[in-house]
Amino acid sequence: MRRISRLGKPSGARLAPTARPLAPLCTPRAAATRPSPTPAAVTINTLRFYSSRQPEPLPASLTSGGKSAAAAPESVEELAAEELEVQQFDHQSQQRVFVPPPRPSVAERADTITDTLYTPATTAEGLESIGGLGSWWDDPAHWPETSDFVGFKPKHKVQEPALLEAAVRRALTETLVMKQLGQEEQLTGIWGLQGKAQHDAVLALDIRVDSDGTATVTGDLHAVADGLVVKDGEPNVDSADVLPSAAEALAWKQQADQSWKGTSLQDARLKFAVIKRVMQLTGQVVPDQKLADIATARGLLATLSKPPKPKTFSQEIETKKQDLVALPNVAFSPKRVTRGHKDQALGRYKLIEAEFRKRDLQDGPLSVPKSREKKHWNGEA
Amino acid sequence: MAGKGARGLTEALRSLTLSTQSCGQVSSRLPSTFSRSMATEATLPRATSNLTTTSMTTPWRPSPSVPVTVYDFQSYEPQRLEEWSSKHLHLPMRRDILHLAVIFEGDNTRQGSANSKTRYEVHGSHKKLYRQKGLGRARVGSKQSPLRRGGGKTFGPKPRDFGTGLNRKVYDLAWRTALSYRYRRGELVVCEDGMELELPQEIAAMVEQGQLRDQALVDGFKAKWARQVLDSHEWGRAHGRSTFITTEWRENLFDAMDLVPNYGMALDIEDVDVKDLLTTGRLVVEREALAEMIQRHQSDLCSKVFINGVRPSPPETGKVIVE
Repeated sequence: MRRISRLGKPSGARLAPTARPLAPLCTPRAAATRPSPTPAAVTINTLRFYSSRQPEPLPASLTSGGKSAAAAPESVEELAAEELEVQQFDHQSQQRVFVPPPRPSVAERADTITDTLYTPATTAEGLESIGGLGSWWDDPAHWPETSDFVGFKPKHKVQEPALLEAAVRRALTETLVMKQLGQEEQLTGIWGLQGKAQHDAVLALDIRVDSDGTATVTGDLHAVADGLVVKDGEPNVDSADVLPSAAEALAWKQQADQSWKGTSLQDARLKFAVIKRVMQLTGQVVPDQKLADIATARGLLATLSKPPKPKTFSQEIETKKQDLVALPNVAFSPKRVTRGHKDQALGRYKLIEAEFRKRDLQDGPLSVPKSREKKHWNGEA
Repeated sequence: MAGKGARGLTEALRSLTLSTQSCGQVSSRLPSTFSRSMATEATLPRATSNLTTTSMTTPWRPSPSVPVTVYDFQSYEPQRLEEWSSKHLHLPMRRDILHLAVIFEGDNTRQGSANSKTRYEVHGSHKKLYRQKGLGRARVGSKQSPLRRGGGKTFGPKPRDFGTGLNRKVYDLAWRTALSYRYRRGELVVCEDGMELELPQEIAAMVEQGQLRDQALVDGFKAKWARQVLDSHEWGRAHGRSTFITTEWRENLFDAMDLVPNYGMALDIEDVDVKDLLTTGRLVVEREALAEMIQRHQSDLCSKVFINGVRPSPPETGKVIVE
C-alpha cells in the first residue's frame, strides 16, 4: 500500500474516483512493435495518469523512497502484485465509468406470436425512431465528466500575472528545498499537489539570494518536502484548488520581498524542475527556444507573463484599446453591424419578422445568412 | 523603417569592424577624441561612445546546440531535456529554399495522367464526309477533324512527367529549415518513442467482451477521446490543428486522427514531406522519428568524401542533459 503514494498524483489527476488503467486497443502489429510490459510495469505505468510512457526508465525517485528507504528493498514483481491487489480492490469499490449500450434485443417473428389481438404493422408510421449509436458517448450518462481525460497540465491555464508570480515562487522554493535536502533525483519526478495551506507554507519560506544568484531557503524544509510526496488516501485536488485567488495573489505580491527573482536558473536540472512544476501548477508551457534565454527566475516570469496575442482585431480593441471604446462619438461592435442589428436597435425587427411570417415569405430570423436560408429551403439541416 | 535602418547600420559597422581588424585592435584604434591643429571657436566633437562598447569587441557566436524538451505523449509531462545541434534545429529561415522544396515536391507529386485523343485516336471512319464541291456546303474532311463536335483535340494533354529536380543538399537543407522554423516558433513538440493514443483499459475490455460490437461506438469513443486529449494540450482545432509524426503506423492514433480531421493529422515517417512540416499549427513528433528525419536529411552536413580514410561525421545531436 505504501508504494502507491509514490506513483504520483499529478495536477488534479482525479485518480481515486476514476482511477482506471489505460491500454491501447492493441492490434497484433502494434503489440509486436512495442516492448511487452511486465505486469509490474503495466500497473506502475498506468496508476499514474494518462501516460504512455514506457515502464523501463522508471525514475529512481519512484523506486527508492525518501524516508522509507530503510525498509528492505523488494522486487518489482512484489510491488506489482501489491499494486494489482490494490487495483482490484479499487475496481470492486468503484462504479462503472463508461456505460456501453445494452445488448440489442430481437423482436418476435410475426408468425410466432400467439396473441390473437396482435396485428402486424404494414407501414412505419407511428413507430418511434431512436437513432443510431453514433452519438452514444455524447450523453453525459454514458460518459460522465469525471471520466474525461486528465493530463499533466491543469484544466485551466493561469494567466493572471500575480498568480503566475506566486506559482513561480512556489515552484522555485519547492525545487530549491529538494535540492538543499539532497534529493536531486526527485527533481525531475512528479510532485503531488496539496491544498492552499501547503501553498501558504511554501511561500512563507524565506529565500536568500547571493550576489552570484545562488539561493538558500530557510525554514521548515522537511515539511515542504513531505508535502511533495503523494500519500495514500489523499484527496485529489486540481491546481485551481491549490493556488490562491487572483486577489490573494496580488495582495501577496505587493507585500512580498522581490529579491527571490534574482535566483539563478543556470543549472539545467534546477531550471527543468522549476519549469516542470510551473507547468503542473499553471498549465503554462515554456517553449524550447526560450529555455536558453532564461537565466533567472525573473527571466522565467517575463517569459510566462507575456499575455497571449489577441486572436481577432475586435478582441484586441476590447482588451487593449478601451480608450477608443470609451470615446463618446464611437460605437464599438465586435461584429459587422447589419440591417438586422439596426432594426433590432429600433425595435422594428420583430415587426418585420411577424409581417414576413404572415405572408409566408421568410422562415426564421432575418439575420441568418443567405446561404443557410437556402439550405433550410432545400430541407437540409 | 527608422528602427530597422539604425539596426542595419549598427550591424554593418560591426561586421566591418570584425572583418577588417581583429577584436583586440578595435578599441585601441578608435580615436578617443579628435584634435585640431588650428584653434577654433567650436567645441571639439567627442567620439561616440555607444559604438565602442564591449558588444563590438566580443563577436556573437551562435550556440552550437539548442535545448529540446522531450514530453510523455499522452500526459504531456516533461520527461527530460536534451541538446540538439543548431545545424539541425536552429537554422535561419530561408523562405526561398522552402519554396523550392515545396514546388519540387508538388511537381513530383503530379500524376500527369491527363490524356486526350488526337484526330488520329478518335474512333471511326476517316472517310471524307461528303464530296468537296457541288453541295453548297462548307468543305469537310473526316468526322474526327478537330473543328467538328466529337472530333479530336488539337493540342490536348498527353501523359507526361511533370517532375522537376532539386539538388539533394538543397532539399535536405529545406527539410531542416522547416524543422528549425517550427522550433523557433515553439511549434515543435518532441514526445517519447512509441507515441500512441492510449484508451482506457475499460474500453479495451468492453471490445474484447463484445460489448462494443458496433464500429460506430468504437469510432465515436476514439474520436471523443482524441478531441479531449488534443484540447487539453491546446493542440486541437481551436489552436490550429497538429501533425503527428511517428516512425510507424499506430492503430489508435492514426484511426482517431482520421476520425477528427479538424484536429489534425497523423503521418508515418515515410509519408512526411516538407510541405507537411509547414502545414498545420504544430508538429508533434516522436523523438525517434525526429532523429530519423534529420539523419535522412543532412547530406549537406556530412560529406561523402573520405578525408585521411575517415568520413566526416555529422554534428552530434540528441544528447541528454537532464533526465
